[in-house]
Amino acid sequence: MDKTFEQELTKLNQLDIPSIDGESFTQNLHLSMEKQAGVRRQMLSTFAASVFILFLGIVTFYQLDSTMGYETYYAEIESTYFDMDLWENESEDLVQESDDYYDHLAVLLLEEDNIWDSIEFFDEMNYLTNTKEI
Amino acid sequence: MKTDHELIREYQTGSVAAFDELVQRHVQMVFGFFVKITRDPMAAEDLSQDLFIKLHKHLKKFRFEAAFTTYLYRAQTNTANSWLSRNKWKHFLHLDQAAESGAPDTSVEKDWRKKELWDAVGKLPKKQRSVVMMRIAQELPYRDIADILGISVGSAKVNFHHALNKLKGWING
Repeated sequence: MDKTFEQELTKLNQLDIPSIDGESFTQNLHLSMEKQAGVRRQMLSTFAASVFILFLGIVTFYQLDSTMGYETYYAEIESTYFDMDLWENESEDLVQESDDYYDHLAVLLLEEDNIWDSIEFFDEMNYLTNTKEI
Repeated sequence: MKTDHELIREYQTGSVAAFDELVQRHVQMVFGFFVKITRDPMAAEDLSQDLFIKLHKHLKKFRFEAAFTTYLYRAQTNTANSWLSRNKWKHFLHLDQAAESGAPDTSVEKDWRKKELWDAVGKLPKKQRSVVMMRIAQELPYRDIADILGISVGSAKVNFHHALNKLKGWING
């Protein structure tokens, strides 16, 4: 039974096998091997280059770390960030403008009959003027 | 004429010509085996090329413990095994491809039966598949199959018997 089925399968699988040209096959084989070797070489050099770039990156990072630290950067920012010397840069125009501003504000408060605010405002003005004179 | 072992020794000392001669000596047999399994000469040539590329690498460590053909059969069986495993799910048949029962034995039907056979072989466990390939595609005796696979003759026969039963069930429905 098994023998018959086996024979059937063997018979079924009997083919006219096309012949293959040994020489051209060998030539193609060598070409494929060279191609594969080329790909392997390329992959190796890519890997080596990646490792080198990574190494260079790490070394550069640690080299620059000592000169570009956060503390220096922070100190520089800090020195300008907290400077609020607006009055030191005040020009004559600005003084004139602020005097006009106080005059206008005084008139406005008087017109509104808000006597307490006006007094407070004049006191403040007086204080500022005295401070400037001192 | 130099023996296979002599050619391998020459190749191991750096002779490319010796390797070429070895390839040319065996390429027809290897190609024929792969054609029977793939039913496609192009695929068979690719598989043959893959096989000889692997041999080119591994023959440098060949230890001359067995005949080169034993080594070659084992390598081609492994290559065919991988191909069948890779293609097992690619070979589902469309219904309109199936031959009708009682139809005359045309070449189309024969092709279909071959395709059906190797699709079924692809579904077998690895050891059974290897035995079937060597028995059907190469018509090797059990003794050689046992040597190639490193099993006993009895084990080769049992594996083949189990495989045939499964194939009969799948193919004959």
